[in-house]
Amino acid sequence: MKVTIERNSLLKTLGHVQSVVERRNTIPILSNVMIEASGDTVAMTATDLDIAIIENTNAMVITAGSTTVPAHTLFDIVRKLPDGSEVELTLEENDRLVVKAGRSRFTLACLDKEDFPIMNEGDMPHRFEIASEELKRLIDKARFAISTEETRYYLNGIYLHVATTEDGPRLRAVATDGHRLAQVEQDVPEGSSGMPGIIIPRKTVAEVRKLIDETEGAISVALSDTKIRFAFEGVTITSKLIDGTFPDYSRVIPEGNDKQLEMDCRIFAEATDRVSTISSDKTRSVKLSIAPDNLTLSVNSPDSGTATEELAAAYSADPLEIGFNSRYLLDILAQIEGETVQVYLNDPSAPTVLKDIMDDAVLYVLMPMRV
Amino acid sequence: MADTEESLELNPRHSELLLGHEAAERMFLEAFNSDRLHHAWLISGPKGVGKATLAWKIAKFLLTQADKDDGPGLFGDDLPSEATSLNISPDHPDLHRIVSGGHGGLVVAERTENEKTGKLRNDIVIDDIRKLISFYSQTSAEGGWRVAIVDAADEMNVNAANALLKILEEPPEKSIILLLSHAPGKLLPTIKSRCRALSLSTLPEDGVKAVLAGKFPELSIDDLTALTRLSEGAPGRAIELANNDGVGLYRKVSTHLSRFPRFNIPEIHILAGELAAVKADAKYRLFVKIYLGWIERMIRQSASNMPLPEILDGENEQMRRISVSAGVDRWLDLWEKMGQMVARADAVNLDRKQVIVNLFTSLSAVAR
Repeated sequence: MKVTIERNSLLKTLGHVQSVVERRNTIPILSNVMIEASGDTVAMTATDLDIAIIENTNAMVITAGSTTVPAHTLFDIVRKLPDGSEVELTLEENDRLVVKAGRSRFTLACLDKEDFPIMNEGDMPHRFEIASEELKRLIDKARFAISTEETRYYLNGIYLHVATTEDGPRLRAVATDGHRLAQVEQDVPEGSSGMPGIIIPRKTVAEVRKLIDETEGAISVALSDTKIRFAFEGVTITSKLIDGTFPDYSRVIPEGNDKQLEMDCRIFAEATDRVSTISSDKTRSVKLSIAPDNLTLSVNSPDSGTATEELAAAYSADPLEIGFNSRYLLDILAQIEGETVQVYLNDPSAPTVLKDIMDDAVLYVLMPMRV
Repeated sequence: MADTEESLELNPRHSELLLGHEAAERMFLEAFNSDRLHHAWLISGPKGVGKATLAWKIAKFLLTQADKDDGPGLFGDDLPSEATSLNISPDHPDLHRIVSGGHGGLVVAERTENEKTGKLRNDIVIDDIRKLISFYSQTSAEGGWRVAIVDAADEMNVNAANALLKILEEPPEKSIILLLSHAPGKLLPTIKSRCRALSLSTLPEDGVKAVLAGKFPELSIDDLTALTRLSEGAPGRAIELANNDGVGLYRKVSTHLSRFPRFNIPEIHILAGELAAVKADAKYRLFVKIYLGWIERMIRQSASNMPLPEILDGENEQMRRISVSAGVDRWLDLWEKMGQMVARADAVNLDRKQVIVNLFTSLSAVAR
């Protein structure tokens, strides 16, 4: 194998694929990237056995061939090479890859390509296209609520499914950790009807999200009961799914919360952030005392002191006192893009619903804390 | 089996030769063919007997099973084909990846390196088991079977063992967990009760000899016999001994002991110095095993009055000569104390050289 690639495009490709490779790896082959050169492209593949990523780049292929080399080492080498240089990769007889650029020369130990894991995709009967902006929105507004607790492993991802609503079927992304829940929806893309509900693991969500920033056009998604594949321009990510049943989340979204509080989202977020400075690391609770047209945020920590802040708010129901985890509240407020947030309350121990006044396709549920 | 740092070729994942456990293999095959394969197996037996080799053999077998179900055939359903052996073709395309760890259907939990110190941990910790949990909580990477090997289950600390219980209870379909254990009695009862037991017994001398002769064709007959008897029916131990020149060390120990009760202290100091070197960790452990094994044999022999097969010529006579100088109870006492001394030396990092010298001097002290 002998190829020449422009340093920047090689760096970009390696940057994508190496992020899948775990830094600490007990299995040597998993720290490698597979390089396959043929025609006028070089395909680079990396995997951690859960996610596989393949990226094609244009290159001058002098002789076709393939091998695997340590991904992070190659990435670090290419990163340190001067901008604009031409990188030559040559596979030598004794299973060494020679990397040459300008006056630098490196040799890397290779591992047999036969050892490299293959992600068996199987049939992927459901295929659809989704605009990168839309996928980005689905991910961003839901991912903060993904659980990290391993016993309820089926919550360790985003539940993507087609939901039947009053307005017909909608593509919906839901994530929850048992304390808060995020639900985002959008029009169903063509071809997605009939798809099974799937849970996309957290790491896959993160990898896909990174790539969305660099893509503009549509992203093709293909999926089955066990795998999902995202195809961007030149990059393909295939991932396993979480093998479990997502709980019936619709039961925890309250319907009859009739006390409505409306207020400026930014001011609310900033005030919450300020008063939460006082709250201890463990609980991080903040108390909301809601009276007609007035909201008082307060934190009372026996160790460090107290904080209060008064805000103007639109509220006309009976006064109410309720506590929330300030971290969770801030996470939700950060996702609300409109100027005004609508909070639907019932009583101090019942789940609360938060909505964006500008976007009725997103909904958040937050469990209160006892304060 | 992962007791000393093995070189790669000796790792059971590479080994194809498994002798003397046909009965265990048959038991597993029967369970497999019955279509009601239990999801957790506890493979137990002495160290080096071939537990890991069997586990890897089972893993290779399961991972290379093609999906049998092709749907209904034109002429009625295919007759169910039964597997007749755990052996798979050495040219199977997946074999490479299974051995190198690049197969998505296999995960191994063993002791890992502690990143802070760069040393191998003494236990399997909860993070190693978490790997298994996340493996089973996601869909299968390659379709087909999913295999997890815990090598060895005895090395799991309490937290890791408890974490394992959760998946041991209810793994997903088409998955199997193979636990290896040198001392199944020490495992949590809740773990044992969830596993089907597969206990491997030691091999007869011929079996060990066959394994050894296969791996080390250059060994002399005397060495072969000595190694076989030293290994006590565990071929893995015999191989470990052969790699570390166990017979040579045994001869040295035996020569020193033959001078009982007047040991050659300066020479013992030289030997102890060699064994206590930082790099000689494997040798030191081997010495301790050999030394304590020698005393144990001596006690067994004098208590039962039954001569054991000799590892070196004239050994039984030598043991008899030493053992008459004190009662069996005193020897037993001493043997137990020696074990504790070695364990304490590891726990609080005592000087190994002094430990070795003490092992010899305490022996002559009994005679006085």
